[in-house]
Amino acid sequence: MTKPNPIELRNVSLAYPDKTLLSDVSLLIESGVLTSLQGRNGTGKSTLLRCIAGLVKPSKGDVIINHQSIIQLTPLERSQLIGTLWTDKVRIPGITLRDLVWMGTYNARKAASSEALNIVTDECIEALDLQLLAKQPLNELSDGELQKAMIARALAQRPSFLLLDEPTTYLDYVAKEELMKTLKKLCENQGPGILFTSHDLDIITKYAQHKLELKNGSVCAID
Amino acid sequence: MNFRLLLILGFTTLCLILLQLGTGSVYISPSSLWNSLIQSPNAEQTETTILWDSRIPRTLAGILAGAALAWSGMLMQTLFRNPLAGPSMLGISSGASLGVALLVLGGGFSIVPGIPAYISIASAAYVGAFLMLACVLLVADRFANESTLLIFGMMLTFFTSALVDALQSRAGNEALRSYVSWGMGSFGECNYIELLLLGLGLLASLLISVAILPRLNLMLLGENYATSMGVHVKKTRFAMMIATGMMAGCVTAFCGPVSFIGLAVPHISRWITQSADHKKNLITTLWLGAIVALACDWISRMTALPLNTIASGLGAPFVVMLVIQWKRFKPLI
Repeated sequence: MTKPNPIELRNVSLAYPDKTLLSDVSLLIESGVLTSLQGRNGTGKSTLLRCIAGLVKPSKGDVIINHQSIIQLTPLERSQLIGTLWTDKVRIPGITLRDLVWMGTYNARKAASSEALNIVTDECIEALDLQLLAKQPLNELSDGELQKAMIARALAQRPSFLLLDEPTTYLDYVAKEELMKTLKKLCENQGPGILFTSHDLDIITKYAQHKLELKNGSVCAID
Repeated sequence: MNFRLLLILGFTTLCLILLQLGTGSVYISPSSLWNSLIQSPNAEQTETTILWDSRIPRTLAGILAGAALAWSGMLMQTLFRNPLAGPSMLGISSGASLGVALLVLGGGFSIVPGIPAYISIASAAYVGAFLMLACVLLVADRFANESTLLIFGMMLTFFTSALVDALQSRAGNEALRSYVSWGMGSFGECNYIELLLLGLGLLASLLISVAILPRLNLMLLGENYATSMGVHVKKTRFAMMIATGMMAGCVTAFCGPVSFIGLAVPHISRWITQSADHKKNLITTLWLGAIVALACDWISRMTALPLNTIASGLGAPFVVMLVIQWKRFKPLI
């Protein structure tokens, strides 16, 4: 299996009438690497993730993946390259954890058989160690369990990259450690590249292989 | 859908159909029903005439309109991720009301000569509903999210209501009575051509709904997640609005602005299936919509009260009871 091309940000700027959030940001996000992004509240970490995911068009510059601008790709094509976790809480009554993870396979429904998609679903549930909760409805899961379920759902998209906005929020200390170990394991063996935002410096120091900081609209490496 | 639920829904529907067909100002016994419907449908008897000219079209209108309103309510609650959304949220019902108000109450407009009043009223409602839908669809693309679209739909509703109020304040007694009577909703005014149009509208909307069914659950996760999971949110939103517009537009044109069913039945369906999954709720919602519409219409006939009075007056306390009883129910669909 060949290593996927990195995500390349070329002079990305994003400004709102009253505020400049990103200013001339250029960086590479490698696949198979666990990269952290830190920064104070309101500096634009989530916005940067949204730009990379193609949900927000930069005012200037471009996000390139596989030699193509992310904004030019269709949502379906983007979903095959990038999986995401946002901070919005999603608790749909009656939808089980397995149903949620299976939703992640939506982008492969035309190409794969339902047996293959079921296998992918089960693998992703297992990767996040959620087998015992598979039949539990989302509204009965704890915040931490739901967070892991959402990551399993993103993983079921089989993306080359995962963008995780504050994945350790809502988790207790033990659950944070477990999740970060799982994410690191996912990256290994040519797994997806993971870019996660966090305010937890202990977690970043311990697990991130590449550390970035967003400050005054610019991104700098802090390795 | 499990067998028990199928049995309960089937039995309830059968009972309601028999009540609808058999009871009223003239009682028709089950054996006479059998005679008139199956054995000699062409016999020139009073009962046969009552059945084929009045009660059968009324029952069919209730079934089709109830199912259409319920499913369009489900689509709107998913689109806006709001449990209070209903088919009227996009201003479709108020567009139909404005169309009828202009025709019936407007000074310069009168019922078109030579054309039966019900046809001109239905046409005005249909044109009003679709012009309003076209207006919403034209601007929907400019809105960043569903909340803004919801606010736009509501403001449009307020604006058209203001126009209707202005027309009402200047209308004569006779015109005002006609308009108010239409506004109370009724399944008893549909003829077979209108039923055919209603059925076609529902069928087309259902075909669209089935085509987008796998995307509907993803829409429940919100725009950010749906887009990053591969859903073209704008196209899906457009398809949902077209489907709702066709269903709500047809129902409002032929039966008047029927309230409550579209808002409440999706909640009852989710309570029964214990799930927000659209695949699990499609048949249940359609079927329950038909049942609730038939029940409300039958009570309305028996008590000689308007359909909307029964639907809202009895239905609202029932749904409140349901929501309070079901502790696991989370109003956020």
